Amino acid sequence: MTSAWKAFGASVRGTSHICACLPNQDFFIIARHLWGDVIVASDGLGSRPTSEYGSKAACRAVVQAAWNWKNMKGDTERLLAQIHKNWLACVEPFEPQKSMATCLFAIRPAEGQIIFGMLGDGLAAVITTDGAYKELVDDKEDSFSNQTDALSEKTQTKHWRIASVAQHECCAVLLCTDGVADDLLAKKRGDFVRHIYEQGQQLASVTMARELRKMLEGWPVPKHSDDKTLVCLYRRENGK
Amino acid sequence: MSQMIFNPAAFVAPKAKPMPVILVLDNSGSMSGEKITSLNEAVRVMLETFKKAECDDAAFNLAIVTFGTGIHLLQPMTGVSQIHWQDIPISSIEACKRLTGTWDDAAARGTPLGATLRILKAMIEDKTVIPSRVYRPAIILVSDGHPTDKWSDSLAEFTQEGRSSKCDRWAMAIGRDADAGTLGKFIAGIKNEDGTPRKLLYANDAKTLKDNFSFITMSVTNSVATASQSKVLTVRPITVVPTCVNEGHDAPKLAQKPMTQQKAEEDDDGFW
Repeated sequence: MTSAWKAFGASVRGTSHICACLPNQDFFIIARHLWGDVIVASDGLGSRPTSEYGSKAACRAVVQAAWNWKNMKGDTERLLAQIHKNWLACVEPFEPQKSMATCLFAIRPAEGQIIFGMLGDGLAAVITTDGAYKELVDDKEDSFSNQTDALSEKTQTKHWRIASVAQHECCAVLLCTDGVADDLLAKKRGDFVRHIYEQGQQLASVTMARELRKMLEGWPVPKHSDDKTLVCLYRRENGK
Repeated sequence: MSQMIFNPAAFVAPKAKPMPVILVLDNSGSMSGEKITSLNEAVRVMLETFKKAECDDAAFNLAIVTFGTGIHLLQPMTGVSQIHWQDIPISSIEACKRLTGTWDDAAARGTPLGATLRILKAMIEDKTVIPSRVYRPAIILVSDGHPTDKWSDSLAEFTQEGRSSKCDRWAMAIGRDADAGTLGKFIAGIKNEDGTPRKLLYANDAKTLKDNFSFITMSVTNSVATASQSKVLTVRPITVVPTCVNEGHDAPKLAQKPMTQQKAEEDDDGFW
């Protein structure tokens, strides 16, 4: 049975931004190359005036760093340092401290391990071929919903959470920003990710992106107001 | 084709993410009279404002802790729409007498801030009371006296350790006898939305008390909106100007009549 890697994603403005005529602070990129795939999602911090640029810079920083991932020979510290360096360059001319943003990413090289990581809140999750669910999540053990780490001038590699999974064991990687992750019930996060992945098997990626957007726009949590972004890289069996 | 492919309803929280607000109010004997009347009015207006704000995108939970002759959880953490307001009483001296068996003047006039902060901290650290899926809680401490117990360790723990240290803290000193130094330490290190250091609010009469409460209410309400918006919302009270201690925690420099030749009763003139 053949399979192919596909990706889809969507990002919608939160209701508070719509009401205030403010832009979406979230951003995501799906970058597909001969050497592999990269998905990134980022959430600009609400309290920072230019964080919408910070989130865009974060996504570009990861994609740029991923180009050289093969040559880094699995050195994740080097990758994370490069992402930070790229972000500081990409965010110019804005001040980094006024443009802070979270960062969630997954890099699937043509061969080898899929690496995924996050800085700040949100959810980075994996479904494996045996049906298991693995996640990186900011459980807010010692804080509250609107408090998070984020890319800044002082970011260090120790602030990141990072994990990897063998490519042949991975069915899907899903990243979502705080606007989605924070509303998911802790016990249902795995079921939610499976739901997205299983539905993703049915339709073309472009259709899935449209449906995903509809889901985020019709988010069922009362008084939800955050920007919402979800991006998924998944393996489709017999895919074209 | 109107049917949605993705249905997240089964996986998400059924309730809105609330902003917890905890009022920590001194109701010792020295608060009796116009002070407690004005405080009750100010809190009632705050509650009504939160209820109105709930019609929009916000959700507020409110708890009220009073401290005087005893420490009471007057209002457990509850959604504001479910709260039916009842005035805060002055803590009962009779109750103190029943407990101690004697007339304990110190206890009757007590301001057990240290014990209050320990109880408050336990409340904040308890995730069944304040879960993680809430906005940063706002703690509003209002007092008109000096602490009568050991408070420094409790304050340090509250402001430097655990979840309580992450809370947004406000403090208001009522009247001339309030311990501005201690209240100032409660808000040390806290910054406003615009990055400026949080200042101690000072209520010297009924009007400034209500104005300060209105200011806090607006700030807290705005902070919920700011949490999900890309620009810092600067709180600009239109009709409300809070009375702050500008430098250090000295007494406020208000336009007051000279007090030198006046008796305490006479020099009130609306000031506490």
